[in-house]
Amino acid sequence: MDAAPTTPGPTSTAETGRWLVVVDTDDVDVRHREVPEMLAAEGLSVVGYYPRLGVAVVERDDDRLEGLRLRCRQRRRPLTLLPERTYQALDRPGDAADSTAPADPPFADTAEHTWGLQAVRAVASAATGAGVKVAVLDTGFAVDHPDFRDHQITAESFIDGEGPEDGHGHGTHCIGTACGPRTAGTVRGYGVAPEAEIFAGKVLGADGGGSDASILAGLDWALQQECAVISMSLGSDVREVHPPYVAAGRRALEQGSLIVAAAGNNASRSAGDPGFVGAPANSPFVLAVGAVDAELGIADFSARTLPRRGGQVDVAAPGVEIFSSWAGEQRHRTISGTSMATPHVAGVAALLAESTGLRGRALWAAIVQEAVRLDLPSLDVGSGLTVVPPVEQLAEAPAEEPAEDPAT
Amino acid sequence: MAHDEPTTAWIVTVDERRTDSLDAVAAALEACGLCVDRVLPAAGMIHGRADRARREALAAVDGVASVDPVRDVSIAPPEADVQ
Repeated sequence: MDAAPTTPGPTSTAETGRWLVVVDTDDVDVRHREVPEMLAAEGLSVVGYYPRLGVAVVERDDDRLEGLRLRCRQRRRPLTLLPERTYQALDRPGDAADSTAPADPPFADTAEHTWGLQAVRAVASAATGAGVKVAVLDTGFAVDHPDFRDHQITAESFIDGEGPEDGHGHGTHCIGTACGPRTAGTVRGYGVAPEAEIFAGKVLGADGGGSDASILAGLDWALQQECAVISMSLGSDVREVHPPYVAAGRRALEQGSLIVAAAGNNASRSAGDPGFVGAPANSPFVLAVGAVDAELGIADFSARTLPRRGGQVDVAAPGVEIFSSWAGEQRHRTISGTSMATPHVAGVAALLAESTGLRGRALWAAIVQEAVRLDLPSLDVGSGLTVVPPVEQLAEAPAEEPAEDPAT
Repeated sequence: MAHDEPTTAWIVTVDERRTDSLDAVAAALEACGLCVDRVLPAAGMIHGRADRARREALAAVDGVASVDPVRDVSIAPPEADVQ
């Protein structure tokens, strides 16, 4: 980004001289009855009042607005006062630009951060995933990896005859992207949510193989551990929606857990084959993740939407040449796949879960809503590139104090 | 007379209205010929093995939403560039 994020100040936009009164409450009775009564009691000149929004436009009167402010404070009503501004249609490209505009691709790994961390805007995020439990169901985890000395890790195996250690490397790579260090010291930082609590469920053996039985057992464990995010960089190239994953995805959302899964690597776009989203990502209640490269183009292998309910790619994330942790002496490795895109979304979900408190379906909605739209078919990237917005843009709690004192 | 160990693995999805009585459903499935391997309380599912011919009977057990064969899943080998 070449311009520092700024909030337009009062002088940067034309003001009308009138004020907006915002009472941000879910209490219908307050919005429909109490607010208009308070406005009348203060003697404010009301230009318009919209009870469904809890918003009034009033003529400026500093004394009466101050009276309203005191009255709302006494009654513990969440009041915000703002000067009304004028708006124009955004008919020039420059007008649409704001602090949420993405940094320009192509991205590249730097000495400090992977291109993926930059693209999903984790680098500058004040959120870290602290207090959020993230499960990664995969080939296990190299729990002795030096980059994870300070992490809280729970590891469990659902593969007969194998412990939770990672005999493959894939699981350690995915966990690194979701929950690894954002600044790693000797290597570039690669983890989106470095303070999330890690739950490593081994559902694929050292040979990379598993089954619905091991995956669903791991999923059940993650639900029992109350993980807010469950990341599954796995799947089978079958078009049929598998009923257990429909039920599991729905039940997870009902319990406040969001399952994200890899769309699949069965495309070969350069050869004219766009592939299709397989199971479990094609469940309607599992968030399916496609992969983009550092130029934010669709990855050659990234599967396209399957034309049936639930078969869509929901969102895209960095998945080409992704640097992360690896099992064994190698310690780190750069590989590609929708498997690598998926934990980027899991990490972003953890950051959003931390900063907004949202869970389940609401967290799903926030991820899709906050994604940056790409100039690519939605069949390939869903709602676009997953990103974490600045924490200050996510404030859930309504302000109790006026945003600006009208008396000054 | 000894039976051959059933080799087909199944995931039984229990109806949402019955997931609070999973053990009772598991017992009914066992009586119907399912060797129960694992009960998944949070997912509301039961994993077990039974002969292929038992599928319809298992699906008819009270509280069962669906009976689906367990499928294998695998990822690319460690040395692959795309995983």
